[in-house]
Amino acid sequence: MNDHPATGGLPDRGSPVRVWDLPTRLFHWALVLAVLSAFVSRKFGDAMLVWHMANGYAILVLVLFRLLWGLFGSTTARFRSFLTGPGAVIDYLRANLKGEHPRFVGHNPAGGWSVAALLTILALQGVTGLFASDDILVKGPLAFLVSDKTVALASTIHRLSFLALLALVTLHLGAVLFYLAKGDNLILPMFTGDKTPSQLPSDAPPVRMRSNGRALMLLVLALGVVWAGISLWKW
Amino acid sequence: MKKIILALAVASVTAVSALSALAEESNPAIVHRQGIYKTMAGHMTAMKSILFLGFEAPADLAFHAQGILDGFGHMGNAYPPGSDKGETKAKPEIWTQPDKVKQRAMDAVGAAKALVAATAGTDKGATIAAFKSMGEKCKACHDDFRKE
Ligand code: HEC
Ligand code: HEM
Repeated sequence: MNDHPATGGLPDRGSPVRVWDLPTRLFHWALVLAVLSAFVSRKFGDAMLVWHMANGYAILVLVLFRLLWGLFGSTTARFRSFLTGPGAVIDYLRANLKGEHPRFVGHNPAGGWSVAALLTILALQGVTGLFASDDILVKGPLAFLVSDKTVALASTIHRLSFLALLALVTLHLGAVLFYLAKGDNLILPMFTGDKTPSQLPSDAPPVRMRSNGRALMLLVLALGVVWAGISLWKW
Repeated sequence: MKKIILALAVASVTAVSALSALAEESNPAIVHRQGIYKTMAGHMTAMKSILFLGFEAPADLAFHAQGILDGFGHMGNAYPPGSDKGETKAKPEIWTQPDKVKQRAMDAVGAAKALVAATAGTDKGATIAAFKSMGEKCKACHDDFRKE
């Protein structure tokens, strides 16, 4: 009677399990807002790009924080827990093609690599932005360090990698919608942090959570590194 | 002896024409328009230093604004047929959508005139607004017609 069509008949009982810690969730939604606003402020905002650059710095801090959290954070946030070998990815995709619905505590093997790809592209986007110029009235804060040719190259990469970012985001959204169509809502857990037992594998390993204080320390560290990376050159 | 002279002559003619073929790689129309764009961008940068970075030369704003307007006046025939060949970032659409290019150019000229007018006064806020709107018009054309 507890049968849940989307879970292949698995009873949906038991209490929800915390899979995403607060820092990861805050990171995720802050990043979404910052990327949206980086785009909107470039396309429709002030020609001086003040807001766009502030957004860009925020994204750099967020990405750096996420890299640190991927090393020192809770289990589901760690790269070691979700960056698998190609075999696991292929198995996972094959299982989906066959209509199966493999479950994971955190990211699935394909999703894990899409996280890595997104972070890489965002880092590229942020760093090239520091050296970019619109050739009209805005220069990234580090453009003065390199030759005009390099500035032109950084600007080109900055414009093109945004298209790559869009492609990855589309893929990301597509995957989430695919899951939603199967009745597995992955969006809600990114808000609440919890998955229901039916969304988890039966042999789910326990998630080891790290404290918010640790995350805050890493965030401050990321902030300091980005600040130093941008300002120390002027001395 | 005659043969040697002849051979030398042939060789030098070949060399000279090969060299001039090389020089044609940088199409004069491209070199000219890029030069003008750079000049205008130079005026923009100088204005930025006065308006935002604290360089004290408010009287020069009018000179730079006029320089930008003059730049547009001296673009000449900036995109003649064939000037898509060479070191250029002009998109092919420049030659297939002349009306739209003209529109973008007229928008920019309008903004340059407004900038000249604003710098004739002493209202810094008005100049800043006109300066930003100038930048937006440059950018609008780049978004449409300049390669990434
Ligand atoms: C009508 C469209 C248009 C407008 C308006 C325009 N540009 Fe451009 N700009 C271009 C195109 C197209 C190129 C690429 C030219 C090329 O590479 O041959 C370009 C190139 C440039 C370059 C690079 C030149 C080089 O050396 O490669 C600069 C700098 C520049 N523009 C600045 C400006 C500034 C500043 C303004 C406004 C005051 C402006 N542009 C307005 C279309 C425009
Ligand atoms: C990491 C997040 C960032 C994202 C998603 C982002 C996105 C974008 C986008 C979409 C554009 C417009 C490209 C186009 O018109 O085709 C742009 C342009 C630009 N960005 Fe960023 N950006 C980021 C970070 C930065 C940073 C950190 C800086 C510098 C401080 C910066 C400086 C610039 C500059 C100077 C331009 C103008 C180049 C142009 O007009 O095309 N950006 N950015």
